Order: sequence, then structure tokens, then C-alpha cells
Amino acid sequence: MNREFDVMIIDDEQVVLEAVAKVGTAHAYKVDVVGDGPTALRRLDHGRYRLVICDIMMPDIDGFQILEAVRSQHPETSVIMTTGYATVDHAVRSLRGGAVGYLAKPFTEEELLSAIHRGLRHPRNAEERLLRKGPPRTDPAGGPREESAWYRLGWISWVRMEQWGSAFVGVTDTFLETVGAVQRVQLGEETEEIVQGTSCARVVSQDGLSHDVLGPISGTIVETNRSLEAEIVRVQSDPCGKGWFYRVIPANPGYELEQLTEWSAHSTGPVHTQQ
Amino acid sequence: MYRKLAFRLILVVGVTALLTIGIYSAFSTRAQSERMQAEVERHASQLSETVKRSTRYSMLLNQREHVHKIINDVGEDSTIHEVRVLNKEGKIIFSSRPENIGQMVDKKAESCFACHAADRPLERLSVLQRTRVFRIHPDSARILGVIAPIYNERACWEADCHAHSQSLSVLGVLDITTSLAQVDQQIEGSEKANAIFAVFAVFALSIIIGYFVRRWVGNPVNNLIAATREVGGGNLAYRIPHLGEDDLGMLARAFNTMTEKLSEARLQLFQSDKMASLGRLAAGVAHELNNPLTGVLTYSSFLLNRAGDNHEARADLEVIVREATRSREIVKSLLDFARQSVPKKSTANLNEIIGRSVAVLQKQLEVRGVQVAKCLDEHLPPVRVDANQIQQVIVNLLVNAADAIGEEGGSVTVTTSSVTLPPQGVAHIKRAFCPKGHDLMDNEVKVDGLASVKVAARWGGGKGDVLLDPVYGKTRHRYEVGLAEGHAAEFVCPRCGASLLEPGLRCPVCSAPGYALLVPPRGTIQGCTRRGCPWQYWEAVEAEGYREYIEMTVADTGSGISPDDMNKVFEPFYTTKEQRGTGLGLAVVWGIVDNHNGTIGVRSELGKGTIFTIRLPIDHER
Repeated sequence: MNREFDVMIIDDEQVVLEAVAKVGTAHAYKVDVVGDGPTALRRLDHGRYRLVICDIMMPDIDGFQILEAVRSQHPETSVIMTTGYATVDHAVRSLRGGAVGYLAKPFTEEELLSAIHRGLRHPRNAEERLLRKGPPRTDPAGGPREESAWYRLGWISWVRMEQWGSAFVGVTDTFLETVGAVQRVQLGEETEEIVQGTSCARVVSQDGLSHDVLGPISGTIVETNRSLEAEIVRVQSDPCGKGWFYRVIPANPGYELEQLTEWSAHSTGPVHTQQ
Repeated sequence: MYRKLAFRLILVVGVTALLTIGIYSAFSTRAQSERMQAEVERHASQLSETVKRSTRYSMLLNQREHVHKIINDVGEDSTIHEVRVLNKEGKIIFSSRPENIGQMVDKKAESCFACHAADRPLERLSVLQRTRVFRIHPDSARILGVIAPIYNERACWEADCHAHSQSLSVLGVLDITTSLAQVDQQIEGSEKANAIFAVFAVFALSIIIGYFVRRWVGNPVNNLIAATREVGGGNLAYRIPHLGEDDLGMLARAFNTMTEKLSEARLQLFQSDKMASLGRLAAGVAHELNNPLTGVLTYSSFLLNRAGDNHEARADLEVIVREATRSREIVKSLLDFARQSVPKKSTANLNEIIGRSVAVLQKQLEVRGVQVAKCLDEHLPPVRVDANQIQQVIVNLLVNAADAIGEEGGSVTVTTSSVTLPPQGVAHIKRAFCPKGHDLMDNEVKVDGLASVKVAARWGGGKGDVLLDPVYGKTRHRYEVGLAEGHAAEFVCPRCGASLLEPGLRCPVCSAPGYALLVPPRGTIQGCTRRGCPWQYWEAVEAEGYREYIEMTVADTGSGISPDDMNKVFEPFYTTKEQRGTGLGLAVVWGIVDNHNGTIGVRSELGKGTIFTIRLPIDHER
């Protein structure tokens, strides 16, 4: 029996398992379906999986325990968390815990595919690279770089607080790497609200998939980077600088920054700050 | 009757009036009597002088018959009691009462006393000293006597009769006594008149005071008592009518305000419970719905992507995907509603949040012709809130206001201020346990709509359930047993029988044994086991004392809310906007404010507008 799979889907709901298996198989992915946590952990020990899609609320073992087990025992396997009780807390906690993506139920075929697509392409050495490279060195506004705090929401998006209270928001290079060649970016308008852990923008790749960017912080958009419409290349060439998405007025920075991973110039790696 | 305020007032005023009139008339009667007596004295003295002068010549000529005649004539006057002349030895030599002539008068007798008191006769006396008042019998009229000494003179010792020697200075005494009966009668008459006046005055005063006390004090106080009974019985909608402008009117007004606040607080409690359970329900339903929806959405989108040129199938599948996506949004809004449970608090300035919220909606409001006025307290203290949620509250309220204003345009006014409020006195016991951890809340029997606290009572005569009022400080307990008023019982857990009595705890009001219930997370609540004793003590609530709040109001000039809709506005899925609204806006607002331990109230007048008032407690701890 071949124990190599592309995707393992863990969910206590049969219809979800079947749906994911159907979509995955239709796109030539090898999918393994598991109905509960303990079985999933056993199978993980005996096979090779590139990606695990895991429900959060399950009996016996919950999704966060599985995430932790996979992160510690199978670091080569990426994890995407999914749940029907899609709260901001669940999203943020998943991504802080090392999940590469977060998929709220119910999802369409496209949303599932783009999540699988990114999950499978997540660089194995992302953390190692982060350690080597350190935090971004360019300033989003293009001026001299200031000593200011950078934070990131998992491997997806970043926020940089400005001294006068507003914040820059953008997407990480790791996320763009998993997306592939970018065709265009759909951004929100000024005065619109973005919410931490929910979609704030959409990146459409050249293979036609659209990828939701989960916002790192809640707030009101005061400026959208219109230059990206003309020069889409900026997103990929300088995602932490000229490729920024929004300037926002954060709604609740005091609380929300604590939920993010600090991306500090002085830290040697991602710091998980617990509340 | 004797305890009535009006009666006591009348009594005090009556006694005071009686005393005042009594003292005044005593003084005035005495003065009057003295004046009249002086008049009689003067008259008697004048008379004696006249008698002395008219008899002088007859005396010198020793014409005794003449003297007799004069004295008898004078003595005939009805007011004159007796006219007499005594010689040096005290012998009556002339008298208007012939039977007295020849009698000796004791020198100690009242007519002689003035001169002979010191055993040595005084020769010259003033008019006052020559006057005396006495009674012959204890019940006869008073008699006033005036004596006039008859002095020796040249003509007496040189007279032919040689009756008197030159060495004597006083030869005898003329004594006239007049009756004071008339004077006494007049004084008595005036005393009677005074007494009648006093009685009449007290009576009139009582009527006047009684009337005004009833009008100014009695009726308003009765109204207040009736209102207190109504409110005490749970009718918080009761208002005192006919408010005056005086102190009691202000008291009645304050009372009305108090009941209004109480009923608001009670509504808040109702709502709180309902919202919490609805929130849990919504979360559960959302979670359960999302799994089957995943099947529908994934399969339908999967099929749609593979429908190829089959237009009919495409169109149908598009409907399924569209509707499933719409269902997803509905479930998401349910989750948003349920999600309010844990606010992510940080220190923030409410004014800034308001500024941001207004900025977010500025364009939309301008287009609709809605003016936003901000009247913000610049010195507003910072408050720990979930800024995002509070912003959502303000945005929802502003959007509602704009919808209520409609096409014609109008204005919305947002104000902030800081206020200090007393302890609520309406703290709600939501959870209560026996020492062994058994839940004492009873959902079947409610006191005023709230789940009651059920304990079992045991006493000498029997046992049964007692349902305690879950609102702290209120004592509308329900006794399902025949425990008599004023009797204490032992309270035990109805499940395990563990005693709920606190060892050593005695009610400070009536010293009956006290019970204690665990009310996590807010310590214990203590109370008295005697039926009818109102004592309760909840340390955690009492410790909070007066609290500071930030108050925000959002007032619009829109269409207002009808009284029928008023008690439903905060209920989820209740909407008057039909297709446009989900009916969750105000429910979300309510949930957020409640989770911040705040309160929200609404006042509205049809056609005039609506005011939402939100109070958020200022937490000084952190």
C-alpha cells in the first residue's frame, strides 16, 4: 500500500470528508480521509503527508492539539485549519500556532483548491529562512527605515505600526511564494473596514486561482495602494516595502497586536506572545 | 389616628395657641382687676375724706345726732358696706349699722392692723397702707376697707366739751368698707369671655391647619405611600400623578425618576439573560449548519465548474451556489452576533472611537442629507473597552438613525459625558449553589419573570420549598409552605439536604439565624431565615458602591419607535426595515454593551426621534 499522500482531511463530518475527497481527487491530488483525531495521528506516524486539512472542533482530540503534534513530530507537513465555528479567535490562534492557512466553512471548490494549492507549496524552510533573513529592511512608505514594530499573522500578512497611530498592512513574501505568479490584486476601498483574521484582499494568480489574504489587524482603510494596479510587479518584488496594500487606522491595536507574532529586528525567530 | 402627621400637627398648634391665649388673658385680667380695684380705692378714700369733712363741724360742736345722721345717710348707698368711727380705745362710737355701736374692736382686727401691727400705733399712713381687702365669710363677696385717721387739732382741745387733751395726735378712725362684688363680677365675666375666645381660636386654627396640611402634606404623602406599595409589589410602570411644585412634589418627581430607572434596569436584566441564551443558540446553530452547507456549497460549485455547455444545468447550479453563499452570509451574521461574548479590551478614548465611526460613515450620511453633530466631553476619562466592538455599536446606531431619518434629511447628535451612579440595588442572582455545589436556581417558578433561588425550609411544624427572590435586596420570596409570618426556619439544599445556615451568623435586624448561598464568581450572599425579615447582604455588590460611568447618547430626529416595538427593539431578527435589515443590528449593540457590563436604554417619541443612551463602567483596576 502506497502511504504517500498529498492531502489528509480530518473532520468528524462525513459530508465534508467526501466533498474534500471529491474535489481533491478531481484535481489529481491523492487524498486520505480520516474521521477522528487519534486515527489521524496514527496514520501520520505511518505515512507521508504533504498537507493536513484539520477541523478544529472535534471530539476526543481537538484541532489545535493535532496542529501542535504535527508541528512538533512532522515538521515537513503543512497544516491548514478549518472550522464551522469560524471566529476571529480561531483564525488567529491557528495561524499563530503555525498553520499555513485557515479555511472557514462552508467553502466553495475554488476556495478549497486555492488553499490546497498554497498549502502544498509552502516552503519547507520558511522558518529557517526567516531566521537567516530577519525582518524586512525596507520601509513601506519608501522613506528611511525607522525603528518600528513589525508583526505578522502567520505566514500570510504583516502589519507595521507607524508612530502617529496608523499602520501599514501588506502580504508576506512567503504567501506570495505559495501563490505563484500574481496576475492582479483586488483591494478594498478607502473607508472600508478590515477585520483581523478575515479576508481583507484577494490575490489572483496567473493560473486563475484567487487567494484570500487574511487581515493582520482590524481597522478602517484610510489609503489603498493604487500604484499596485499599474505596477503589479511591485507586490512580488518588494512585498514589505512598495508592495504594501493599505494604510489603516487600527480599531483595537492594543489587543490585536498581542495576538500576532512579533517580527522584531532583535529577535532571532518568531516570538509567540501569548495573551 | 394618633400616628397621623396631620393630627400631631393640629395637636401641637392647638396646645401652643391655648398656652399663648391663656397666658395673655391671665395677664390682661389681672391688670384689669387691679385697675378696677384702684378705682374703687380712690373712690372710697375720697368718700371717707368727704365724710370726715362733713362731720367735722358737728364733731367740734359735739352734735352727735348730726354725725349719726350723716353717717347713716352715706351708709345707705348699696355699694357701701359700712361706715363707722372708732375712738382711740377701739370702741365704735358711730356706725351706719346701729347694732355695732358701742362694740370694741380688737386692735389686731384687719381695720386696725395697718397702724397697730408693730404694737405701737403709726400716726401717718399712705392711702395704699390705709386700704385693705378681706372677706367676712369665705364665700361672701370681697370687701374693700379704707380707714382715715382723725387727727387732733387746736379746735378739738380748745373746744367747750374738753373731751380731748392736747397731747394726743390721733383721736380716732373713720372706717369705710365697700363691697367688691361688682368688680369681682366684671372680672369673672371677662375671664369667661377669654376662655370662650381661646376655645374658638383653637377650633378655628385646627380647621385651617387641618385643611392645609391635608392639602399640602396629607394627599401627597398618601400618594407617595400608595406609589411605594405599588412599586414594592412589582409594578414598576406606576407613576405618581399630580406633581406639585413644592418639596413633596420634588420628592414625588424623584420617586418617579427612581422607578423609571428601576424598570430600565429590570428590562436590562431580562434582556441580558435572553441574549446570553440566544447567543449560545446562535453559535450552536451556526456551527451545525456550516457542515451541511459545506457539502452543498462544495458539491454545487464542483458541479457548476464541470457543467460545460449545459446551460440549463449551469443556470440551476448557479442558483444553488448563490443561495448557499447567501446562507453562508446569514450564518456568518449569526456568528457575529454570538461572538460578542468576549470583548477584547484595551484602554481607549471613547471620543476617538466616535470620531472614527463618524468618519467611516461620513460620505454615506452626507449623501442622505443627515447632519452629524458631536457634543463630546473633552475631559472624558479613558475606558477599557473593545474599541472595535464599540465602534460597531456606534456605527450600528448611526446607521439606524440615518434609516429612521429617511429621505427628508435630519440630524444625529452624539454626546459623551462622565457620570457617577449609586449601586444598582438591582443586582441579579444568576447562579446560586449549596455548599456541596448543587445548583439552586429554579426555572420553573419565576419571581417577576426571573428564575428564582429554590431552598427547602424545615421547622418545628413542617417543611417545604421557599423560592427566594433572585434580585438582591428585594424580598418578594414565595413561600410554598405554611410557615407563619415572623417565624424562622432552617434552610437546606432541596437536593442534598445540606444546611444553608451560616454557623454563627445572626440577622443584624432581628437576630434570627442567617443563611448563606454561594454565588460565584461574586462570593456569597447572606440573608435572614425569618419570614418577612428583609435583611440581605451581598458583599461583592455592596463593595462596588457608587460607580463612575461614561455616558454616550445618540439622538436622532427621525421617525421614532412605536410603543409596541419598543420592548422588541433589542431582540434578534426583529426588524422594521423588511428586506434591507437582518434584525441583528441592535441585538449586536445590546450584546456588546452587556458584555462590557454596560447598560443601554432607549427613549423615543413617534415623529420626533429616538435617543439611545449607553453607559459603560469605568474600571479603575486595570
